[in-house]
Parts: sequence; C-alpha cells; structure tokens
Amino acid sequence: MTLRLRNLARALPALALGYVVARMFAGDVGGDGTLLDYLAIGTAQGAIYAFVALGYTMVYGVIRLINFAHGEFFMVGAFAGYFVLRDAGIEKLAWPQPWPLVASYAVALVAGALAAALLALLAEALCYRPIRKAGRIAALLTAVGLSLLLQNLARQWPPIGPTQRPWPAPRLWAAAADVPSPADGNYYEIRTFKSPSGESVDREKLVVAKGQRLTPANLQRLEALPGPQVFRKGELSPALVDRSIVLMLGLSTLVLWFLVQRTKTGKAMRAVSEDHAAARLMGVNVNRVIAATFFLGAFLAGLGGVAFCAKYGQVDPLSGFMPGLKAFIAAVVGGIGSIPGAVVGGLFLGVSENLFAAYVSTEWKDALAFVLLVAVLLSKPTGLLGRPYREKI
Amino acid sequence: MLTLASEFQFSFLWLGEVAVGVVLYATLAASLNMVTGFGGMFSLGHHGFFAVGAYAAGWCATVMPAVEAGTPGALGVFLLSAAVAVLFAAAAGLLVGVPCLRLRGDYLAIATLAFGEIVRIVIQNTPALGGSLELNVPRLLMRPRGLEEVGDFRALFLGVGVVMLGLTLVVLRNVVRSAHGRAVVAVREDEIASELLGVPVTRYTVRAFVLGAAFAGLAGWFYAHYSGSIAPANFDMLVGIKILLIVVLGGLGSLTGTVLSAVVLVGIERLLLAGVFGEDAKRWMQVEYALVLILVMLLRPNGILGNRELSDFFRRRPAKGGVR
Amino acid sequence: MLVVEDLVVAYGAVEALHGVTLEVKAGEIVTLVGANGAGKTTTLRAVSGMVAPRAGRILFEGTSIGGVPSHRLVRRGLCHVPEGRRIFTALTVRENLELGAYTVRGHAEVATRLERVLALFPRLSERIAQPGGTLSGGEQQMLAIGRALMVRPRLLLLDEPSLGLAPLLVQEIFREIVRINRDEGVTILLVEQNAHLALSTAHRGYVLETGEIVLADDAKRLLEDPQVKAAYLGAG
Ligand SMILES: Nc1ncnc2c1ncn2[C@@H]1O[C@H](COP(=O)(O)OP(=O)(O)OP(=O)(O)O)[C@@H](O)[C@H]1O
Ligand SMILES: [Mg+2]
Repeated sequence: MTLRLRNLARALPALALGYVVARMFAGDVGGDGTLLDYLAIGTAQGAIYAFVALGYTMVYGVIRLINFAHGEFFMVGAFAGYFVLRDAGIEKLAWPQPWPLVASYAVALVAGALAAALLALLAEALCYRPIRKAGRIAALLTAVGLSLLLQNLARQWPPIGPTQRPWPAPRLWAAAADVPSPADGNYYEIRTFKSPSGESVDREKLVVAKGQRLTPANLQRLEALPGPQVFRKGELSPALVDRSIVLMLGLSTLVLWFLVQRTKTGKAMRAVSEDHAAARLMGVNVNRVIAATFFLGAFLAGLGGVAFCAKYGQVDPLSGFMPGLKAFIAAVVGGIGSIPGAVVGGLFLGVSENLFAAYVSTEWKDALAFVLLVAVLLSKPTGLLGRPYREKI
Repeated sequence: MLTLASEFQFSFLWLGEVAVGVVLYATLAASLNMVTGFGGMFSLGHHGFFAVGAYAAGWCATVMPAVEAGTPGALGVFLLSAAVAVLFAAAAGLLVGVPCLRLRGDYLAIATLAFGEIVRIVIQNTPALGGSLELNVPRLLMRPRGLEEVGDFRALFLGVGVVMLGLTLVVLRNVVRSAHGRAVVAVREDEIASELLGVPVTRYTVRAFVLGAAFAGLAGWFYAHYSGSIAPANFDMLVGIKILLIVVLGGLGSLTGTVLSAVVLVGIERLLLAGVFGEDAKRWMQVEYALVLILVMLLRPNGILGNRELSDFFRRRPAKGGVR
Repeated sequence: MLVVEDLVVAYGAVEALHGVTLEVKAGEIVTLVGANGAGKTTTLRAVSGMVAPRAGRILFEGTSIGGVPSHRLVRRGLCHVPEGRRIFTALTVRENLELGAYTVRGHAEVATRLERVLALFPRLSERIAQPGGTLSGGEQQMLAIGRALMVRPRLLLLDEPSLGLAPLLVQEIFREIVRINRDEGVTILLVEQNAHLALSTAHRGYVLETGEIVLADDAKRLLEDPQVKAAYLGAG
C-alpha cells in the first residue's frame, strides 16, 4: 500500500510535468494568469535552475566541494553568448528566415557553454586543485573568493562594466535592394564614427522606418557597400526560448545519464566520487576526471546562462548570483550529488516559487527557497532523491 | 612598485575608524571561532546573528522613550539595548541550533547560510525595522549635531569596542578552558567517541553555538550604535564570508590569531578603500580583496598561526591540538 | 622486479619508515610481517605512489618510480589492493571489475579478463549485478582482489587480504593467491597480520619493526626463527 502511494507520489508530478510541457510545445500557453501559465513559467524557470544545479551536483559528487563560483561560470557563459550575438554577424548568412535567427541563438549557446567550460578548467587547475588537500573550509572559501573575483573582474573590465546591458537582438541582414517598399519593419545600417579619443565606434543608424520608402539616394549609397547592407532587429519569442530550454534540459539529462551510467569516464567519475585513492589505484587519472566534471558542469551552466539572459532580455555581472544561489538550493533540495535530484530539485523550486509568487506573496518569494531548503535539510538532509545521510570527512 | 598616492592624508581620525572596524570584526570572528574553531561546526550564516543583534538593539533604542543623549537615562537605554541584542541573538542561536545541529559538515553550513539569508529577507519585509531602507538608531552617548566632535565620538566607541572585544575574548577563553570547553573540543575531535564516553554531544554543541550567536549579537549592538543607521545590505553574505575568512586566516581555535588576522584583513581592506595604494588600486579594490582571499587560502590554508595561540610561540611548549 | 632502497617516508613531522630496503624478484611471493604500526602499509603505499618518499629509491623493473603517480604505475603493471578493500560500494560488481580494466582499450579484451576473474571467483558471478556495498566482507575482499587482477598486473601488492574474514574464507583467499602466483605468473608482495599463514604461503619474508627491516630470510627459515616465533607466531 505504502509502495503504491509512493509510486503515485512520483507518477503524479511526472504526469503533470509531461502535461505542462506538452501544452508548452503545443504553443497554447498564453500569458493570462491561469494555473497552467504559472506552471509553464515555473517549469521554464525551474529548467534553468536545473541546468545550473546539475553542475553544482556533479562537482559536489566528485570532490565534495560546494562550488560557489558556479554562478559566475553561468554569468561568464552569458557574456560570451552576448558578445558573439552582438559582434559575430552570423545573421549575414544568406539563409532564409528564421534560420539565421535560430543559428545565432545556437551559436551563442555553444559559445557560452564553451567559454564557461574553459573558464572552469582554468579555475580548477589554478585554484581548486592546489587547495584540495587543505581541507573543506579552505576549499569552500577559495570558491567564494573565486566567485567574488569573477564578479568584480567583470564589473571592472571595461568591455563588460557594472551596468545592465540589454540582450542583443539578433540582426537580420538584407541587401538594400531587397527591402520591400514600403518597408516591413525598421531597417538599420552600421555607420562607423570617430570618437573624440580617436577610436572608431560602430553605431546603428535607422535607414528606413516601418511603412516608409527607401530614398533612391540612400539606396544607391548602400548598394555601393559590399555584402548585405541593412538589417532588421529580429526577436526570438520568449515562448520559443522557453521551449528550447525545456528541450535542452531533457536532452542534457539523457546525455548525462548515459555518460555517467554507461561510459568508462562515467564509471570513473562515480568511482572517484566514492574514493579518490582507490580509483587512482585502478589507473584512473583522478585529476583528469575532476577536470572533466568541472568542464561538463560549467558547460551546462554556460548553456543555462545564455538561455536565462536571452529569456529575460538582459545581462550584467550579477546575472549569475541569484540563479546560482537558487540552483544551489535546488541541488540540495533534490539531493546534492544526485543527477536526477538536480533536475527534480530545479523544477520543483521553479514551479513552487512561481506558484507562491502568484497565489501567496511576491515579497516573500525569495524567502521561500531558503525556507524550503531548511525544511528539506531538517526532514531529509540528503534531499528528495539523495542517498542515505552519510557524512564523509 | 606601489606608490603612495598623494591624496591619502593620514589622520588619527581615519586610524580610529579603522581601529573600530578591527575591533568589530575581531569580536565577530572570535564569536564565530567559538562555533567553527572550537566546536568544529561550520557556519556560513554568522552574519545572521550579527544582524539580529544589530536590529534588536536598534529597535530597542527606537521604541524606548526619547532620552537626551549623554544623560544617565540614555546610558541606561544603551546598556539595555545590549542586553536585548544578546538575548535576541542567543534566542535565534537556540532556535537555529537545536534543529540544525543534528546536521554536520556541509549540510550544517548550508542550513546556516539559509538562516542568514532568511534573516535578511525578514528584515527587508518588516516595516517596523525599516524594510529594505535604513533603520535610524538614535544617538545615545553623545549629542549628534557637533560634527567637530567626530574624533571624540570614534574614540569613545573605540573604548566601548575594546571593552567588548576584551570581554568576548576573556569569556570565550575561560569557556574553552573549562570542562565545557574541553568537551566541545572533544566533540570536534571525534563525535562518536565522545558520545560513547558520555559527553552529551548535542547539549554542548548547542551551547557553543548559542554562545557564539550571543557574542555576534553583542557585536551587532555595537555596530548599530556606532554607525547610527543600519540597513539589510550591511548584513549580506559577504559579511559572513569576511568573518569566516578572518577565523580561517587566524587559525581555527586560536583567539589571538583571530585578533591578529582581523588587524591584517580589515587593515588591508581599509588601506585599499582609503586609496593608500593609489586610485587604481582603490577602483580595483573588490578584485584585489578577492585575490587576497584566494591567495591566503592557497598559501596559508591553516591560518597564520595554525591553531596555536600567539603565546605558544614564546612559551616554547608544544602546540595544543595537532595536525588535522 | 621491485627494489626498495633506504626508503624513508614521513607523515608530516612523524617519520614512519626510517630506511627500508627490500627486494622482490619476478615470480616470487614475498611477505612483509610486523606488528601494528610497524609501517607495512606505509611501505606499500610508497611503492604504489600513494605517498611520496622523503628519501631512498624505488625501482620497478629497473626504472625508478619514486614520485610517479599511482595511476601511471597501474599502466606499467603494478597494482595495489589497499588495506580495508576499498571497493566502490555504489558500483555494481561488474562495474567494479570493469573499472579494474580501466587502462585497457577494447571491449573484447575486457570481456576475456572478466571471464577469467569470474572463473577464479565464481561467487562474484552470482552477484554480478549487485552493488558492491551489499556484498559480504569476504565477497568484498574477493572483489578487491578480482578487481586488481583485471589490471593483469605483473606485480601485485596485497595489504591484509585476510582482514576481518572467517578462517575458512582466509584459507580460500590464500589458495587463490598461490594459484594466481603459480598459474598467472603474478609476482606478489603480501602484507599480512597472520604471520604464520603469510610465511607458509610466501617464498621469502621480511620482518618490519617500527619502520625498519630487522630480519630478511626464506619464509621457511623465518617460520623456524626463534625471534619470529616469539614475537609473531605466538609460540614461546
Ligand atoms: N595518514 C597518516 N598520518 C599520520 N601518521 C600515519 C598515517 N598513516 C600511518 N601513520 C603512522 O605511521 C606508522 C606506520 O603505519 P602503517 O599504517 O604503515 O602501519 P602498519 O604496519 O600497516 O600497521 P597495521 O598492521 O596496524 O595495519 C604508524 O605509527 C602510524 O600511526
Ligand atoms: Mg596496515
């Protein structure tokens, strides 16, 4: 009987999740404040938490370190995506719409993930590896220091700076001759100016507003330029981003599961997680396994960072802080060290936060995560899906 | 390599402010050392008790009938608010300690971190405490108007702070040397063994935790009155991290080391902040502070003195504790 | 095959080995006996690269291996079964064994080795899908040894394979050890509390006392040695 109840307790949320996701993909989730809407919003947000939580949980599983800098890997990934999206001009590809749009988003995701992952490799080699033998508190403080360092470096480094930046709208480039008349949207060109200090600065300049006609003089001037000459600002719809996030989470979880359960590296990871020395005695290069874990975790954080900032339309050096903290809570709630736990914890936190904000109180929303955290820690310290409580010191 | 910038004017006033900062953080760190260093309980939420103490003292001072600063009545309120701060912080310590101390290691650290954040969010959402804005704490010891008296004001609070720190250190030292303290250390060394030997583990760890919380509350009282206005932003996680950093650099379990490392770390921070190393260094200060944190951990993960006291170096007797 | 010369190992300020010299020739079973805390485990740990020696030389097949990390030594054919088994409790028996062949490329090779080990320890094949943590102590010891055999080592370091096992199982394990040595040609350096059993299994033996070798001889002669008898064999 109890067994049945437990199965039911597992099956019901899974079914509900499946239903919500199905409705999301069917595209009939509107913004009119029904329960389904909040569930969908929560699921998308929770999926981002889950992305980040996966990295926390993997690193914790392997070296028992709460990697506080994980949220900053997320932020760095987001900025890498931002720069690629802003500067690479992938949209100039002569593909039909919306493929340049999708391609630029995909490239931003990959760039963000790789940047975060490479940063994590560097951080692991320079900070975490030397500190590993010095004890848990030293390692944890190092992680905190790294988090502060990255955050503040981003704030001080001129190309990033402390201010919030709008997420760049992908540019849909076209040849001036192809602009319909009257124009079907605002069209811009890039003009290079000399700034007072002598550097050349690129600015967007409106060429023709929606509904207007391109003047022949302009057309002639523009056509003299090489390549596509004018662009429209494209937009990835939030619903599309949400769907992509849920899809990516599903795929990543499957891939991770396969990696950890079915491959040699995964086996080595699980072995290292249990006993470094014994794994080493079997010929496992423990340092390399740990580096791989950081790489994978940060890769996912980078994906999450780009998706998060694309969804909310802005990015800044503190972008990683709250999602990082929440994802950390999600990882603990789900059971730190457990991969399915991270996913369940993330979705659970995202959904309950949004339901709470919708039906109870927005001011206390941030407290909810922490209260949930304490409640779970006290009733089941190893989390919803964690292994039995066993502290290794 | 570093050139002293010309804008920085050394003054005793500045030094006084730095000294007050040192005393404040040394008290906080000593109280955390009771929990983490002696008790072996790893807390990331100590700033929560600091906040509880500060807000309890500030609230107490605002709800009391208005008194003329500098009068005996005001002194009474000043001391009463100290008692209230300590009481509230200790109560919070008990409230957090009893359920949470069943947890160990990272799990305890996470739970205390959550506590620190919850305190901040509760304050932010409580209008009586100023919400996310400031809570102004009336001046009790000196009339607030004369800005020319600012030197005296700092000297006065430096005096109060030194007394507070002295009291904290003496009490903690005595507690550590008492049977209770030895029990706490025994618990740190090996919980299961001490349980088997009949040490009531939970009771002792809770006591150590509550004591640490109480002294953090006292530091909060001091801070509230010294700064004259407090806001939730003064009690974020970074404060907790700074306290923990001082404890670790000072050496887990070493009280003199804690004071020494408070001098070093607060000193570095204030020198950077004052622009002693130039404007660039000041602008990059947060980055430098983070770098210092990482370097300290990489180079001296067991603290300046390890878990020894300063006096151990003069007395030439074997250090207590051992390699851990 | 293995030469250890004047090996000094220290944990912090505490010196555990004060200059240990010993040799293991190819094809031998050599045992290291000594009281608790004598430094037997430390010797093995130094040989397998788990602790760095402070002084002295360790030669494996003629080349110095001081300071080479353990995972590299495994590739060279040196495998260490540590004290207390240390199998991976969350991994299944099969996964534990497969991890032993971590350095091996090619599924076919892993499969043949797995077959051999399972033939050696039929009990493990009955428990193949079970998590390692659910095995009994003796089964875990078999798994630990089997896992090491998956490496196909040329030199096997065994640290107290009898720890916590029933006498019958100890017999069984030691029979396996002899068979591995004889049939598979694996050279073995064996650390064992049960000096009588160890010396009757081994070809040669060393007696370690507080970090120093005090006796070295044929195992049979050590069994007869009055000093050894008095100190380790429990006979007057
Ligand atoms: N990690 C360590 N840190 C400090 N000292 C250690 C450590 N490991 C071992 N020692 C010390 O080194 C000495 C030798 O220990 P070792 O484990 O090699 O003994 P052993 O001969 O294997 O004993 P046993 O038969 O009990 O297993 C002991 O005095 C022990 O206390
Ligand atoms: Mg041993």
